[in-house]
Amino acid sequence: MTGMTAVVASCGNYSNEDLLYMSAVPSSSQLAVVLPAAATTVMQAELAQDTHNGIGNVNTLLDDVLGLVDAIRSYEPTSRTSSRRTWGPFADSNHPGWQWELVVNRTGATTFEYELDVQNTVGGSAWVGFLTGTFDLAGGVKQGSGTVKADFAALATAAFPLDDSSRPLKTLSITYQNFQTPGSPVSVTLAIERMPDNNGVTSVTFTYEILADGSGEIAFRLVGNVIPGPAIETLALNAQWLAAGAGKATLAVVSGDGAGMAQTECWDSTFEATYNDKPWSATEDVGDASLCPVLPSFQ
Amino acid sequence: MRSPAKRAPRLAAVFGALLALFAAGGAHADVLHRFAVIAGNDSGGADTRPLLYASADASKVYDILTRLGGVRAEDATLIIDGGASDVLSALAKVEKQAADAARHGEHTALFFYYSGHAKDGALRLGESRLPIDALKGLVSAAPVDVRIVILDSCRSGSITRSKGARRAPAFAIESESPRDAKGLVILTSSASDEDSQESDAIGGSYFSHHLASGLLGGADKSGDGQVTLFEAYAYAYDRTVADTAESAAGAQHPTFSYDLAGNGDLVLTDVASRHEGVYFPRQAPSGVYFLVDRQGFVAAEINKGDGVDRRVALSPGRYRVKRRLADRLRVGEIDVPRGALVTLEEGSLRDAPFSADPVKGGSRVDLSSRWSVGAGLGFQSVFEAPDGAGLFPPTALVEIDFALRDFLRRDWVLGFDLAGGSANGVAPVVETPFHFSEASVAASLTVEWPHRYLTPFVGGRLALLLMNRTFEDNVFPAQFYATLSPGLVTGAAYHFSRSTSVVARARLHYLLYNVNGNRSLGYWELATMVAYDF
Repeated sequence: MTGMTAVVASCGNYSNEDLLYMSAVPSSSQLAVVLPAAATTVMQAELAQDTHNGIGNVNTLLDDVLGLVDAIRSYEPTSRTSSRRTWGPFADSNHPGWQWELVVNRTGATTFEYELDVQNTVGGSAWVGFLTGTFDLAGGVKQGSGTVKADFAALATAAFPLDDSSRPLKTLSITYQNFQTPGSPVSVTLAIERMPDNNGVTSVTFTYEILADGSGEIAFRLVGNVIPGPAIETLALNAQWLAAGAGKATLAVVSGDGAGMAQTECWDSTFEATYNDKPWSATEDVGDASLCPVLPSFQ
Repeated sequence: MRSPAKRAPRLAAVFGALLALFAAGGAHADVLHRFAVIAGNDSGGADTRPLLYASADASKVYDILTRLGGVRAEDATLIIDGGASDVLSALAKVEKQAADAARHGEHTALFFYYSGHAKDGALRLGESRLPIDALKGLVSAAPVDVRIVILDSCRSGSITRSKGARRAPAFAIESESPRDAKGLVILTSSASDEDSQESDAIGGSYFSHHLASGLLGGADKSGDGQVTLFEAYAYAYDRTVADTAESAAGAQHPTFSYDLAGNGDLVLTDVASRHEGVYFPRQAPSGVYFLVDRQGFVAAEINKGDGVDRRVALSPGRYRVKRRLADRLRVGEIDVPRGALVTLEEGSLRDAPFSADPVKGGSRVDLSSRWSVGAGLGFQSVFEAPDGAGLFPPTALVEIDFALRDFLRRDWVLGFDLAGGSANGVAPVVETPFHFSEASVAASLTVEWPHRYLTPFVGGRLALLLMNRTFEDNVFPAQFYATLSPGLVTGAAYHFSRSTSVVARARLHYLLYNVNGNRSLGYWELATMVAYDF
């Protein structure tokens, strides 16, 4: 058979194993938060809009970070071993003089670790780790859990030319579970550490959970000097919704100036406010709490 | 060597005696239960040169006897490229059938026809031998009332190919009537010291060609629509001698030995009852008419006399007609529909130069090789070895085949095929649906064994496989794989008409998969298709 093999020409990237290694690294679309589509109404509830805006920012950030991985793994692996797939090095066409390499290692029967590194080819400097992650497919590749950490500070230290939106960021940490199974509960937690922005925000924590029936919950937690005054505030925005779109959100000042204040707002499936209780601006209050939808219990 | 001049008086005496028998007893075609064993073998073993048309001649005779000769298909055995044991088995089977028929009070007749090599006192069927004496003994002892043995065998040749490879010792059949064999007739294609010759121009041996033409109606000298044994022999004799007189191998003289023992003449074919073929009216000019089939072979060669008519019981199909004059040809075409007797009108023929002769001849490749095309459906499945599980899903294929027959060698088929198909699958481990598509282009070389209805074949094939899959929602990039895959192919074609057949085929292929290290996989394919021979 060896002789026969020698004369038979074959080529390609047709591989089930490659798919498994690719699955260890989530794509941006797999972790993106998908809310019921916002209706175009001039009366869209304030906190519903804030929720959509916040999620849009998160998805943009995921695109920036994991889009790079998506682009790299769209190619055939450069090399394969029994426990490793390597993509690259690939030159970064947007940043001449820099190249990327993605290495995915299988560390156990169900566990993977991966690392996306960048190197300055001009200066001949060492590889710098930008993205690291783990994945455990125990229970099935679509019901596994994983972590992703992006180290923007390391890129800045290596003088990688970050864009304006990425430059203030220090780290992005993501944990996720069941991220690919339609109809199954999904849980994603995302934490951002950054340099203080105009509002003094230094960290954002984001938790996202979708239940099997399509209803979901998002919780944002910001730390920064957002409210005028000497103290650093912690703000929490909790939004919950039904699959049809109707939902409820509460914006609370957890600590700092104005601690204890909270706004509660409900909206219907057209995202028009049905109830708004805004203590610091009573003129904006509408409806009553009985108009809020009945929501399921979230973790 | 015997000369025609010496032979003629003896033939005259024979026919005189037979005419008397015929007048007294009449023809018995309608009361005879007829059996036939017909064998043709192009190969005569290691020390002989392969013949080209022995099998074709046997098939032609089989067709005539079962179509026009009153032999039922279940009572006829055609042995193409078989061995001596096949012939002996067939004779044993006939012996049993004939004995059963005799117990039911039926008169019986056995036709034995052989076309192929004969040397050193034996028929040469491939590597096997069947001694002539043993054959005569078997046939003589068969429990039938009439036995007719026709042997088209012999040796050598140059411009026209002759049967056999070397001279001496001659293949001899006693032409005198053996006293212990009542109702025995033996026809041979040539005298004991002569070669029997094949011709590319007519696509067969001279003797079998003229015998067949005679049986189709050309030999019906009496004009009663029936061809008797003596009419057929006389026609074959005259035409064979005439055609071979100028050949380098010399004239070939068929021989005839008989002892009908009161059975009278025997009707071999009944061309009138068939009412299908070509009718030459009385007013048609006399001469030799060639009826040429689509492959360029002479299906019948009819020597029409002045003021007589002739029926030629050709199979349905389109034929070109040629009559040769001193300075030109008269050519035309005629269609024979199923169940119709078509009259050949002289006015439908036109003058043509000799260069437009529809009888090809000369080049073996031109005569023998032919294209066929087929189309059909197949199914392919990669063996589910542990390493290959879930890689390539079972796939339905649409296939187109092109085949060039008898190009490299007789009964070798050089084939080219294209196939394409698609299927849906789910990638294991990642549980992701995908759409799989495949295209292949391949070349094959097979050997086939043509029989009247069934042609089995076996050979090798080399395929270039191009496989691709795309994933639902593009969650993964598309993947492809290309490989050369060697394999084996076997199957059979069933011919339900002269040009059309249904093919059933199986393939077994090796598949190298080397994306994640070398893995030896395999796949099988089954296909059925309809093929058309040009």
